[in-house]
Amino acid sequence: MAWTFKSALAALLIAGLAATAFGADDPIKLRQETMKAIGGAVGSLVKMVKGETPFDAASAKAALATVATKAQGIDIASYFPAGSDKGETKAKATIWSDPDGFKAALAKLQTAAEQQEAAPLASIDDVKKALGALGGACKSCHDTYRENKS
Amino acid sequence: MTLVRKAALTVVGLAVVALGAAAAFYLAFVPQPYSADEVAARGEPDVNNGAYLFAMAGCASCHAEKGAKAGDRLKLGGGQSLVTPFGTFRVPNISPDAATGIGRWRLVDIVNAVARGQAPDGSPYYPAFPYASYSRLKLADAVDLAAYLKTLPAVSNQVGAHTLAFPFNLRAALFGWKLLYFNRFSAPSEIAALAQSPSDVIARGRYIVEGPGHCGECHTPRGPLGGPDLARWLAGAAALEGTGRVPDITPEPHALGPWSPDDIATYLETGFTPDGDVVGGAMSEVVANLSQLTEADRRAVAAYLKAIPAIQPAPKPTKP
Repeated sequence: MAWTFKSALAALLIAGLAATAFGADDPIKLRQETMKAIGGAVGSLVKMVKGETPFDAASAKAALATVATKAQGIDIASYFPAGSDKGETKAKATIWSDPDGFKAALAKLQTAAEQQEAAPLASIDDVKKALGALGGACKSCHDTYRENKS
Repeated sequence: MTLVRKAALTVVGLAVVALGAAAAFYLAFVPQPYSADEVAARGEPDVNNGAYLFAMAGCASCHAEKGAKAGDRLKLGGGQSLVTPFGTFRVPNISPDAATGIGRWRLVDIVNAVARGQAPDGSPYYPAFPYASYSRLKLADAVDLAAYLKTLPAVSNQVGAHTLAFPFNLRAALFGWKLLYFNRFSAPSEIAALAQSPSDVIARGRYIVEGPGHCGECHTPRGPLGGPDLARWLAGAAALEGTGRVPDITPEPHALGPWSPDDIATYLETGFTPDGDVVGGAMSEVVANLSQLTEADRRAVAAYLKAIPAIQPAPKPTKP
């Protein structure tokens, strides 16, 4: 009885550790969490532009900072290693067949995010401008490198 | 008269009767081409309205060069390839070039191509050209659109023929397709009833979605012969091009249920979803076109999409 309990506990522990390790190294999960964070920040700006939340320079700045940090953090080697097009992912094969194009598209986002983080933010019009610039960068990448799945 | 001759005559007779019946059905149930007089009755076409319809109908997305921006979206030299399960369609040149485009066509020829799926020589078009939806264009709008196309720059570009698999390569079979499905890219009756609704906004939205906007062409699944599955109106489908899925856009909880009409209108204008995602792929082209519409028209589309029945998306196909 004690033996069964111990081995069950050990098995559970090992399974838990394996899951954690897998979670940290799983590029698909990494990508999805990053995209979710960027989406959350962008979504808060969209709400502001639509008038669902009042204009607030500080939180808009914080959202733009999140986008910039998350975008800078995307490192192709660890986020999009070869073979990580398999599984529950919307990443398109074009990412690996056209690495230069993908690299350029990512650089476009990183530049846009950095510029928008540094740009003056005095009114809702500035938020609109920032969203336009970011949206363009997001879109041009999604057009070519993301699969539509639902 | 021998027995053999008698039998042969009977067979021929039956064939003639069957053909005649098919022709009668065709004439009765398939929308027939407009006459030059009907088109002329429109009077002086309003090319500004034509330009607006051009954006709504998304002509540039297929007929301009892939990824064309700004002024290049008005150069409709065709040439894009649409790779589908039926084969590869080559998008024709619809610029006013006399030799390689439609420069020699009369206004009524363009109207019948767009709204009746019929070439000037009477042959039917493949429904890759979404004329089943465009057939719902009001005649005045169709004439204005045709007149606008004539004002665009001529592009000299000879486009090759489609390469389609049997039996889709038989153009005559398209008469059958039109008989079965033309006039059917419209919502089922409970949705049709919306047009009777007191809300003009929903009726306007219905016109845009089911007519020029031709949303059902991608968002409604098709059967093996390319006819729409009306029970799953706008409930999402396998993409006709590539391997992706086109999403369910009914008010289903996993689809547009949680979106407010404002969310939908904003998405159609800017490409931003409420959760901060950004449009990509083929829908990106649609947003580029619909962002040119009036706010009121985008809201009308949103009102219609919130009013139609919610349908669960089909289960994802299991991986082989």
